[in-house]
Amino acid sequence: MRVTPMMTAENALYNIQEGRARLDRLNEQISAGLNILRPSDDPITTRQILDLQNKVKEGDQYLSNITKANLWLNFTETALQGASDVLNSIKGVASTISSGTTDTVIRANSVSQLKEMRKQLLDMANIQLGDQYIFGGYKNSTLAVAGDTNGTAAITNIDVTNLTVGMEVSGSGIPANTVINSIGPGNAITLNNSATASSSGVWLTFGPPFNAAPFAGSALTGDLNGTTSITTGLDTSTLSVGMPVSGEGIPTGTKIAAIPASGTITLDSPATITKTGANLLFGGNFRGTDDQIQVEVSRSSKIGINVSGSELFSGTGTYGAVDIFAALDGLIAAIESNNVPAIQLNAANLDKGSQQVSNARSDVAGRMTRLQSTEKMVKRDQNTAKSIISERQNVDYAKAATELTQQQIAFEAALSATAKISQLSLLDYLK
Amino acid sequence: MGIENIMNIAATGINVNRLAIEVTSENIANVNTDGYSRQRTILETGPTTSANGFPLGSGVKLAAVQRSYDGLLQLQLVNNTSTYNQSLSRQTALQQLEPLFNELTSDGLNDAMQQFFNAWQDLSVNPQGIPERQAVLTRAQILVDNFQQVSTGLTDTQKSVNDMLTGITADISAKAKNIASLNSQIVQAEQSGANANELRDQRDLLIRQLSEDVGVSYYEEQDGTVSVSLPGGEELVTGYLYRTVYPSSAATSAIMITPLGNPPPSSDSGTGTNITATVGGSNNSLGKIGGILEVRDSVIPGYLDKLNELANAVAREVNTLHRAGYGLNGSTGTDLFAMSSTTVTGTTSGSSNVISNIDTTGLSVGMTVSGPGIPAGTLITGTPNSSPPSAANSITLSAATTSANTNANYNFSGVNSSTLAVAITDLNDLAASSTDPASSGGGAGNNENALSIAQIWETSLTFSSGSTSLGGFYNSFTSTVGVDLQSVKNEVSQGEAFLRQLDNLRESNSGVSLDEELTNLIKYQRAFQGCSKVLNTATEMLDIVLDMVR
Repeated sequence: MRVTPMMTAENALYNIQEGRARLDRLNEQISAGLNILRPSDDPITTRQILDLQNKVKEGDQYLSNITKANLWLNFTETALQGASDVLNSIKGVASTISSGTTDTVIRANSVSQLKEMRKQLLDMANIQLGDQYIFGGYKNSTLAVAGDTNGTAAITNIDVTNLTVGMEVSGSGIPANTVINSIGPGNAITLNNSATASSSGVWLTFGPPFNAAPFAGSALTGDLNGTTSITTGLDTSTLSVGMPVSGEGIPTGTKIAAIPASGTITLDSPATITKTGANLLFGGNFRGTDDQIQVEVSRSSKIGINVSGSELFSGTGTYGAVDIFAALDGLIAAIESNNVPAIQLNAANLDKGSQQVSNARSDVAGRMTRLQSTEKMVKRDQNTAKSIISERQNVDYAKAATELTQQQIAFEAALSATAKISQLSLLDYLK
Repeated sequence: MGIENIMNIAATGINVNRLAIEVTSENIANVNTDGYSRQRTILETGPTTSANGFPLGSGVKLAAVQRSYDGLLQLQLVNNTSTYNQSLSRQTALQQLEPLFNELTSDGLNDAMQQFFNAWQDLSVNPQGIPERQAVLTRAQILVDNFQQVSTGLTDTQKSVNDMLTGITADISAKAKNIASLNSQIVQAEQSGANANELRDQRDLLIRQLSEDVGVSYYEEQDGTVSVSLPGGEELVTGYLYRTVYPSSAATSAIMITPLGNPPPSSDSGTGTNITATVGGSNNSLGKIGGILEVRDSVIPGYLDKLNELANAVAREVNTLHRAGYGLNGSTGTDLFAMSSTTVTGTTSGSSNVISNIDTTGLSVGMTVSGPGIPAGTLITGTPNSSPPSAANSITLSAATTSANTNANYNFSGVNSSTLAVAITDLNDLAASSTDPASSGGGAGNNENALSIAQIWETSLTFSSGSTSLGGFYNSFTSTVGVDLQSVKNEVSQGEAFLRQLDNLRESNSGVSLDEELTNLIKYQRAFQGCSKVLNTATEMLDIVLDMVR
């Protein structure tokens, strides 16, 4: 085969180019620290790495969910512990007066102590994480209700169940700083300002402070007059339609039927006596939902992060069957009227109620243990994925450096050979 | 016979060797000329005469100046140049696309999808949280932006390769014109008995260069002209006639060709023929033009189909669940991603997966189809490769039709990756809850729907390529792009090596070797000197004879 100088030149150029390309590729790999820099370098491994990267990111999300779930469960545990403590104190008061006493001062002391503890227990039941009531199930924060506005202060066709007087209202056509002036009668409320628009089915947001507390309630004094109406001396801002009412002269199971105006409520059954400044206990009924708030903590595995307030305090679930607030209200009424059998019955019920709270605590503890083991599992999966990625993707510097040296020597040899051979010519020897 | 005879013989030697040196010098001068074939002087003895009973030659004669040329090698070079350049132009286009899918070194669509569903996870932990709701909307917008970015990247590349057609067709036309003019020069030169070696070299080079742009076949006519044809059989050059190739003015240009002429009719004359389907060779496998048409009409539409299928899957799955859920304000039945729906007439034959005679404008793979004889939940699995979309296209479906209908109305609903948009602006409309929060059993804390939407990411969905998760589908899409580019890179390096081998063979056969030419130079110089010496001797002989006479 004839070999011409053009061939030699072309071949030398080609080989130098190839050498440079190999050096460039090695340099790119070493400086980026990665074996595979673009999908076409190795499409199959690329797919594996991307899938594994998805797994790692998924794990990050699960870990973040686990952290939040832990926060909820820890918070619940704290509240449950508080409730246990309060219940223990109640049991202590109940045991000192278990056989009754004719001394009205002692009874009044016990009642006022128990009322204070009832308030504490309500606080525990209404404990908030951020702006959410942790025992409220799905009804645990602000509330939106649809109603019809007609350009006046009256809003009609509105569900008043969870509304209380004094709540802030916002929505389209509602001026700023508007609150509820009165509720009812019927599905209607009155505001302190007129709506600027007239339309039906407007979504109105109620609160803050939205009184969505799952166990809202309070101890108030009111004037009884033997009818269903209690007129003066009531702070209706904490009351809502459907709340149980108990106290002297109030039949068992009485509820608020309507709150026609601030300071006035209507009961669903008439009071049996007439008394000014009667002691009344409101609330303790559960207004939330029983739902478990589920959070995904690993692929397709969910965990409930809350405890239902009604199962815990009203005894509607598996923890026990005691309505703790009803038992407490019963105890207070029994002590007020020195009804010894009732005192003992309600004290025994509260004992069971304490067990009910303990049961809930062990449920929460169980879930926290499950969270811990899930967290470990997610982290282990992540580690496996990460180590495979780094095995595939991270450059072995020792190997790369050796290859670089080899390529460098080869490249230098190619350069030197090219330089020498292109010098050769017959012309040098012709005279 | 006499002294004059000696002088005559010496004179032919001087003449012919001078000519040989001329040829040698032409070779040396053209050592670096592209396409030049070295020329050899072929010498033969002059006619013999009989003197004193012996035959004796009458000196040397130039038989031919021959160029070293191998026709078979030229043919192989032309064919392989076409194949190589097809791969090369595909590689260039695919390398532009690869960064769109490179999630190894930076975050892209895959990450945007995962972050979007992670935002739903966060919302499921705090369904009434305004920051969480804001995050979902922001992530949805980022996801939409990413879809649009990839889609725009693909269509931009499609446009830019389409724009390259103008230059390539102009180049083809210019080369056709030059080949035709060389044809007539060669005929003129050779008819007058002259040597047209250099012109032929130029013509061979032009044909090789033409084969970079487009696949060609050629043969030499008896009169020395060359006829060049395109892969579809159209004669690009015949004799001194040639044609012009030009792109049509449509957004997706068709390749047009004028009738033969010198000059051919202008491209505005309306006499052009559409050769888009054949000019790239079978499967667009030849020449830069083939590579460009393949990328424009098959590779990129294929990628866009996959991208649309993914966008439709995301939008469909999320919207279906989102419509079933409730916002904080009780809103329900709302779409998170804006869906478009169109009604188009088409024809089905029953129990086939095809709707024919349908205008495919605005349709994309993954859209849901409904209409007479279409089972519920049927999706588009393929739009035709023919572009631009036209009224008489056909589409394939994921399920067979159950009845035959002619020109029936079919409804299509879905999204297109290029126009994907978030339909929700009010944070309260995000449907995290499975029930109306204001209803008796509901509440703002209900996270069931958010949880269901977040879990779409883990769910295996049905795609035309099989069942896989959204992330899995996109990762295998990325891998497909990688495989495509990797295989074209391999084709390019193999083609390059093969072409280099052929070039070496051509160079070995036709290339000028300086060493060889210098040796020849000395050879002819010495012969020239020898002949001159003979002439000298003959002159001296004549002098002696003349002296004798004096």
